[in-house]
This record gives sequence, structure tokens and C-alpha cells, in this order.
Amino acid sequence: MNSGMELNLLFVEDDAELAHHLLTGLSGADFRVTVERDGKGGLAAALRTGWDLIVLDVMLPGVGGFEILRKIREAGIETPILFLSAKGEVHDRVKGLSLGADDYLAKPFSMDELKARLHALARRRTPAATTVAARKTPQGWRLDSLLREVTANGRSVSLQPREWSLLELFLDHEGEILTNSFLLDRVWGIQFDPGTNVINATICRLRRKLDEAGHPTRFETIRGRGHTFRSDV
Amino acid sequence: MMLGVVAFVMLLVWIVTTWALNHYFNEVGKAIIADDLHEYGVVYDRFGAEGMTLLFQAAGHSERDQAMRLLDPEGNSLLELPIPERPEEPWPDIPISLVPPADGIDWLRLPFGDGVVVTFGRRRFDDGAEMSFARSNSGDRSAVRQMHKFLLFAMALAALLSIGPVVWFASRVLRPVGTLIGGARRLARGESLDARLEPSEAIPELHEFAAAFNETLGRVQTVTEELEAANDQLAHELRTPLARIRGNIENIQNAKEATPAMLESAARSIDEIERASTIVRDILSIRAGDSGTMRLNLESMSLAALIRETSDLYSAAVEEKGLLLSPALPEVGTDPTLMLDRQRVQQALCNLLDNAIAFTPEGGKLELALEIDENAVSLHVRDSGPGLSEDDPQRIWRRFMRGSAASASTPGIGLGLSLVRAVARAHRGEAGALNLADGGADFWIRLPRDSNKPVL
Repeated sequence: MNSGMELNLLFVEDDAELAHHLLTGLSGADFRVTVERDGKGGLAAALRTGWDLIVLDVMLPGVGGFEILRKIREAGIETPILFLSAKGEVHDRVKGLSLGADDYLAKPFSMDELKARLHALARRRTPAATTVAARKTPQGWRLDSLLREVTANGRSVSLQPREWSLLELFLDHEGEILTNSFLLDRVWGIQFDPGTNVINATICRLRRKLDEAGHPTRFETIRGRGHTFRSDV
Repeated sequence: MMLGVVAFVMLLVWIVTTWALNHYFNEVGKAIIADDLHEYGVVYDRFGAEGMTLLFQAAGHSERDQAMRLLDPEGNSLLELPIPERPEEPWPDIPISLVPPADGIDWLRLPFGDGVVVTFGRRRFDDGAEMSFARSNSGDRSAVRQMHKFLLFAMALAALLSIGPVVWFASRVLRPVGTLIGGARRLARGESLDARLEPSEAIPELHEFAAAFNETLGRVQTVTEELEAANDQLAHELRTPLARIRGNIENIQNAKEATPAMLESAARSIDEIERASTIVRDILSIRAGDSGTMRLNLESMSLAALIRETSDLYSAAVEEKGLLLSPALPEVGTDPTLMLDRQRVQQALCNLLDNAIAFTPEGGKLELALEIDENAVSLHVRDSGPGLSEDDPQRIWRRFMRGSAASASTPGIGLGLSLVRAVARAHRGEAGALNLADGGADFWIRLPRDSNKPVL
């Protein structure tokens, strides 16, 4: 376990192109990525200590993803594990979580979403040892989570429960790009697309509420990617 | 149930025997009285009242709960002995029959309470004198009591003897059959492919049946697993290229040299990939539904909460479109919870609502309603849009068909409704649509409260 800036990430993925894409996409300021291309190699690597995060593909040649997951947990290793699945069935997700995985992402997935989920996992596990900052309250804002009120410049605005959860999520992931599917999963607990641009509309309404109460915000929607929030106005 | 039949038969035997015995005693009692009346009639003719008295006492009738009375032609009592078991009671007037009896005897049966019944027989002589005999049924009663004791003993013995076979039958036939039925039900619900019959104590015939049944279950399990594996493989084959394409497009999005036009292009491509991905998943779900292999992740779910959460989810979007969405829940206090697959049922409901929103013009109304009846709960999505045309009602449920009110600008494809029906049926329920009287459509999902009683 390192105390520095980077997170040691083990990726077990057999698809060459995906593996390459992950390596380039994730390597950078936050992650130090190692890729294993098959089940056996992946399991051996996983049983070595020193990983901050592990990402497993469920369908692997040799030892399957679920099997590796089981063996890792049996060895007493508690590293957060996210697994990827091209099957994407609900019962797959349930099975993985019950075997000891911490999160799940269906293919095809957005790299932004993968990053957001990995950051959330890392922060949950060892809040101190990550580069991701704890929730930053925007300057001048006071948050009351019981009343779901945001107060700034002496004016308060009350938010609905889900609006509040949405705001908290953005504050936790400030500067990150959050996809619709990530927001739907975390705030509403649903893993399908409800259509009718519900997310855009809800964010719009949240932004309007905050703006009208005199708490200007910077929500930005990036086409084809997701939404970001910045508190420095 | 068998015990009920046995108990009924015993009760019947008891009642019939008791009645028959009482009837027999009644007849015998009358015969005794009739004989005595004739005997004593002769004695009276020869030896008068005195002779009768002597004979009566000598014959010991009193010990046999009998008594007699002799009246002279003027109605004065020449001899009157107390009524057996009821000495304080006066002798009753025995009515004269309208039709004179063949043997010359008039009868009267008087109940005196506590089961005591006294039979009176009366004979009139030519000179106008009258002789009556009375006999109480105390001897009969004790005989019946004896019989009851015996009958009770016999029945107890029979019950004890029959327990053996009944217990044997229950453990070796009924219970294994019950296990079999349970296993078959579980299989039908798609809960456990591993269910097998284990009739360890059953009779040989059931063993054979169980073996054959298990073989069939094994085959069904193999086929189901193969189907699921094929589904999984198909998913993998379709999704891997999509994932690769997405990766490449994300590279473009991240490239420093990307122009706004390129980014716009990339964004639209991503939209299409997501659409394709949803189609893949929905088709696989529908396929699983069709083949009965849709696995449900059941949990206890409140339907009122589902309606409220769904209304909340769409509230901002609905406002933006200038529509009014209102939930309609039954009165406070009724909030049924059912064992359902939360994700799938919520997705089905959202599909219907998404559909309704797309087809309802600005200024329209939408309603999310929960209705409960004895056997099932229904979720309704009602809109004030154009409704269904005559051809629509069955067509729209088929894959890729959209209602005729759909125009080219209405986004989304027609898989959503197919999926709704597949989810409803996987829960042993049903989905349907109809037009509302005031215009607009009502799309509904009906789910059984007890999964053992599917909605028909």
C-alpha cells in the first residue's frame, strides 16, 4: 500500500484492443496500471500484495473472472474489486457482488465512468491515501444534510431528497466527468436507461434552483460524455 | 381428509346402531306389554281384581320397571301401582284411537325427561273395565349404554389398528408426492434448476417415477444452461466490438487536436453505441423471457414506493415538456409488498412512462396509478395523448412495432413494449393496453400477489 499520489491498479482483461485502450486511458496522474491478459496470470498477480484496486473481466480464458474473484476473497485480500462484464445481465451483477466484488460495470462502458467508479472505490477504502480530495464545500456555502438546505450569502434553498443526493455526488466528484448511467445508478439505484433525458432535466432544475437562490454554479454538460461540476465560479 | 372420512363413518355407525337398538327395544317393550295385557285379561275374567293383584306381585313386575292400573266400568281405580321411575306422577289419560286397533290396545309413549320414557298400553274389556300396563325404558337404556361402551371400545381398537396403515401411507406415499409437487412448482417458477426428488422412504413405484422425473429435470436443466450460455456468448460477441469502437471514439474525444465538428461527430457516435447496446440487452432479455429462462432477482418491494420514486425520477423532464404527471395511489394504509425483480419491474414501468411521454403533446396529462385487488396488483400508465388506433392493440407488443401515432420524430424504437410484456410474464403476470373513454391510452402491468396463482 503506497502513501503517495498514485493508485496501483491491476487490470485483468483478455481483449487486446480494450486492454490497450485501458492502459492509455487510465495511466496518468492518478493510476499506475498493470494489465494481465488471461485468468491464470491475473490470479497470480492478484494474489501478490500491493494493489489498491483490481478490475476483472468476467469472461476470461482459463480461470474465469468469478473464480478469480472467489479465490482472492478466500485468500483474505480485501482490495476493492470492480468487475466488467459483456453479459450485463442483472443476475450477473448480483452474483458478482455477492461473491465479494465492490462494483460492476457493463461493456461497453465509458472511460469517464470507469474512472469515477474507481475513484469512489479508492476513496471509500483509504480516504487518506488517494489523490482524490475529500468533498470540497464550495466557498461560502453551508450544507445542512438533515434539512437538505444550501445556504450562501444569507439565503437558503431547500432541495428534494434526490436533488440533494445529486448535489452531494457532484461535490464528491468535483471536476470529474460523471456519466448518465453513473448518476442513475448512484442517485436513483437504477441500472437501465429511463429515456426522456431525465438526467439532463433534473440537473437543469437543480442548477436553476441554486442559481435563483443566488448560489451560482458551474454545471457543464459535455456532449457524448457526461456532466461536470465546478465550485469555483 | 382420510381421517375425516373415517370419523364420519364411525359416527354414522354409532348413530345407526343406537337408533336401531332403540327401535328394537321399543318394539320389544310393546310386545311385552301386549303379552301382559292379554295374560292378565284372562286372569281378570277368571279371578277378578284380587287374582290379578296376587299374580302381579308374585310375578315380580315391579322389579322389571313395570306397573299396572285397573279401572272399573265407572272409572274408579280398583288397582293402581306407581309409574316406574316416576312414582310421583299421575297415570296419564291414554287417548282413544280414532281407528280401533286390531289387537284392542291403545298406546302412549311419554317422555319424562333425563331419557326416561314410559310406554303405556291400555285394554278395555267388554264390561267397560279398563286395564293399563306401564313399562319404563330403564332396562333398555342400560343395555344401550352397554352397547355404546362396546362400540366405543371397538372403534378405538379399529382406530389404533388403522393408524399404522395411515401413517405408513402418509410417509411413504403422500410426503414424497408432496416433495415432488414442491419441486415441480419451483422449477415452473424458474427458481431452482437443481430441484430433484428424493423419495428415500417411498414405495418402489414412486422411486421409479422419481427416477424418471429426475432424468427429465436433468435434461431441462442442461437445455436451460445451454440456452443461457448461448445467450451469454451472444452478448459477448455483440458487446465486445461495441466496446472496442467506443474505446476508439473516446480516443478521438480525448485528442488535443479534436475540432468541435469532430467532437460532435464523436458524441453522436457514442449515442448510437449506447442505443445499440441497449438493443442488445433488451433483445437478450426478451429472448430469455420467451424461452422461460429470464432469471429474476426477487426481493420484497413496495409498489407504492415504486410509483413515487418513478414519479420523482421523471418530474423534472415532464415539467420541461410542459406535461403534468401525477401519481395515483390507493388510500393510506394499503401498500402491498410483493416479491419482484426490482430492476426489471422498474424498467418496465419506465418504458411505459417514457412511451407515454413521447406520445403526449404539450399541455397533456399523465397518471401513474396503482390498483389493488384480491389476487393481483396493477400498475397503470395513463396518458391524454392520441390513444391507440384499432389495429394497434396487439401489434404494438411485437418487436420493433410502434403505435400508428408514432412519427419519425418520436425517438426510441419499439422494443420497449416487448420487454414490458416479457417482464410481466416472467413474473407470471400480464401486460396490456386499452383506450380510455376520454381519449388517451392506458398501458397496464398486472402482477400476481401469490406467484403460485398466476394472473390469467
